[in-house]
Amino acid sequence: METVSTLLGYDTPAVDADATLVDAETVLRARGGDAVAVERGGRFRGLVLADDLAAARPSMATTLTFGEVNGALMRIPVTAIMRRDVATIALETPIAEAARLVRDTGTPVAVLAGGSLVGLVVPPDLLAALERVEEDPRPE
Amino acid sequence: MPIKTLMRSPSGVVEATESLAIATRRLASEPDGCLLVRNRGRVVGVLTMADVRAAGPSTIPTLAAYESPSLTAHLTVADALRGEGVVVPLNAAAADVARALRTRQQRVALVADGADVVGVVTTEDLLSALTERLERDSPPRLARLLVAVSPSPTVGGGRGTRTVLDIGLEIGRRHGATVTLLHVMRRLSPRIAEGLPVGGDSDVQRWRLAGARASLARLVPTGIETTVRTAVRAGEVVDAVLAVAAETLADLIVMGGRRGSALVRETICRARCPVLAV
Repeated sequence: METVSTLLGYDTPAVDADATLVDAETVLRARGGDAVAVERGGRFRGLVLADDLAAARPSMATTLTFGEVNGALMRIPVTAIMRRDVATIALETPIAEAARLVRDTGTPVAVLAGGSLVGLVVPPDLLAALERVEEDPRPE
Repeated sequence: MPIKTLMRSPSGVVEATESLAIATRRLASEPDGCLLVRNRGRVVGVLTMADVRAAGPSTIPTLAAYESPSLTAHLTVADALRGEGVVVPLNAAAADVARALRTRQQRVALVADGADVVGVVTTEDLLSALTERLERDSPPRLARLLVAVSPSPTVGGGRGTRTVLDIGLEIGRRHGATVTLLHVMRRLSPRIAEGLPVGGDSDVQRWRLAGARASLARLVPTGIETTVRTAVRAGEVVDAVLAVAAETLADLIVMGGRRGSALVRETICRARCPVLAV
């Protein structure tokens, strides 16, 4: 049975718990993905979702200038929008189980080993897994 | 897998020029969680709650204070649409739709039959398809079992132990799981169980521990197809069972005892995996 360890890349997008929303946006822009992990002292603390970052930005109806918005986002810590109730799994978790968790919770799941983050399972990883199994030439 | 077996047919449609606030209220009661967006008679995209949150007022109160309701009331559905909608043909395969959504960073695809949009497929639908496919190809199984037994006839061994053991081993055999047989000795010194030096009646305790280990080893049938390990621990039964379950990453604990008994109840309440009380 294929496990989530086969989905993980070498480097997980992460910021420190003292980082700001602009820091998290910068990491997401540079690395892509749906979420940034938040860590403190090497321990996983939560997730900042790309959707939550987008929702934190003011709408087009704001009276603030672009510079004022960015200035404000540079002062707001990621912990203000961080999700703490994130589902966590082990490296040995089957992909099917991870897919069910991502679908049911609507958020990526964190893969931990000994309390430390080793990766995130995000919807694009699982869609790539679906492509792979659907295009597998093995007879059904 | 053809996409037409996965797609759903949302009934809700909004105009791109419609007020975002009104569309949001409609979206909240939409069972599919999305609305088709139409512009000049043509479906151009899909509106989801994530789009609404991104386009609406900031979720940070200090920033939202600069967004007057009189201004946000002018936001339209078109303001919330992010990128071109992904359109796939009705005869597309699930893998094609997954690739299209992944590469274009979208979560919903419009399914078109010719010029008509006949349904939508969401990332959640594709994740369900993935789960179903993987579990069909390789059904979920238990990899590690913890079977708590008491081999001594004086403390509940005999027929009861044999039943728990038989059931545990049969489950282990069917799933190809590694089975850990655990015996907990309540009156044994934890230091003895860990092989540490102690004074006083240490020889007697060591003799009891060796006897328990030998009894446990005799319980393992010869020629069994599954891997069986044995462990003896000192202390309270529930604490020891849970500690070994955590150490061995047990997927299931099999133990003796009535379902309503305090021992079973406490184990079930505190265990991080299912418990089968025999």
